[in-house]
Amino acid sequence: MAIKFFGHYLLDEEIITAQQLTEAVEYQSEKNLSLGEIAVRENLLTLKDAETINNKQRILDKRFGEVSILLGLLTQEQIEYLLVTQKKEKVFFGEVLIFKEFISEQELEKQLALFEELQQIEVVALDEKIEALDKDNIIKETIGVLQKLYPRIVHDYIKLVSVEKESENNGIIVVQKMRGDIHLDFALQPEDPVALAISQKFLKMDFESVDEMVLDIISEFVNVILGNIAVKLSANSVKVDLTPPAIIKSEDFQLKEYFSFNFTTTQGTLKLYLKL
Amino acid sequence: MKLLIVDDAKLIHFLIKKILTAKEITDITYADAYNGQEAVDLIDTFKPDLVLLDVVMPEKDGIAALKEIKEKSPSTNVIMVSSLGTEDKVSEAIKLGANAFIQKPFDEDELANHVQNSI
Repeated sequence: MAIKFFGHYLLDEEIITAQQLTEAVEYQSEKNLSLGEIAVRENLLTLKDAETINNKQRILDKRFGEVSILLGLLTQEQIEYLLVTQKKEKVFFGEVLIFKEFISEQELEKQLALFEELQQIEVVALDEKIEALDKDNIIKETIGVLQKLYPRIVHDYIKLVSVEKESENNGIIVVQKMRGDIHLDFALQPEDPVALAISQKFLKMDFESVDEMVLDIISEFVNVILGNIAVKLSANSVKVDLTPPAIIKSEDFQLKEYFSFNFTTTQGTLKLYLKL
Repeated sequence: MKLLIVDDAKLIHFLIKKILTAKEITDITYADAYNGQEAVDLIDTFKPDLVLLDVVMPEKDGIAALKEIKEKSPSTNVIMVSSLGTEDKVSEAIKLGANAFIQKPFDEDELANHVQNSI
């Protein structure tokens, strides 16, 4: 078993169906509002101000409340009120399953205990695997930057689920190389829905298929991630340069030389390939 | 104002124009270059007031291009817009005469303010 979300675990164990999972996730995301959405509902912010704060959050490494105060749009007191409201209204995934009668309370408790036990083992195993591969903490720093910037740019969560050596894959891969004091080959392969989500957030435009512009955006996304990794590493007096990102077909990609880090997002899978 | 955008990613050209238009900074004539050499070549013909210059590009990178741009036209304002904002790149760019270094992913207001201040 790899690291996964509780819903996917229940699906794999055939406790719930794919349709029930989708229905529960959609219900949960409708009910669990962001601080910005609650602030708009409570007439503390206009929709435009909430969007301004969200856009700033994409750039600054700060929380919603910090950015709101920085822009003078909300007070500390209002933020605290919003946080309490959000906590009070929060609906947990398990609660949705019971409410929708997809699972009994007793079964939920049993499965949660099993899931947590299995995940604990997986997390330790994954950390040990990364530790064994890592050189000077480069892999950890790389994963850290990706996990920090992806939510800021795409407004979605991202979670590392497995590390493996792969022998084959399909599709387009964007590769960029770091050279200098550190040699790191960095490649990303998003599933199409992930590529479209990244593109949509980057340009604030809808894209229907993975076209030339989407590939250009993914290349720039890779450039932004690797550039920020370089900045992080350069704090330790490391000097590096980057090659321009290149789009290559999977059949031309020397997959065997890379380690594959598989991330899951709401939209699908994002594969990170690293060669040190 | 004449603004030269230099970046190998087409989307950055599109994005910068979109941001500046949204911020109602519209009195601009644009030119586009997709690598450092194209940028240097455009200095004599386009004569930009401001260059927004990426660092990581094919053929000629932004630092090499900056050096040549400043040799050709010392009064041209240059703002570096790059993800590679490492300490050595930023200090080298500033030493070569760049007015500022904006780290990608960039803040729309920060970019617009820099352009506005160059008008």
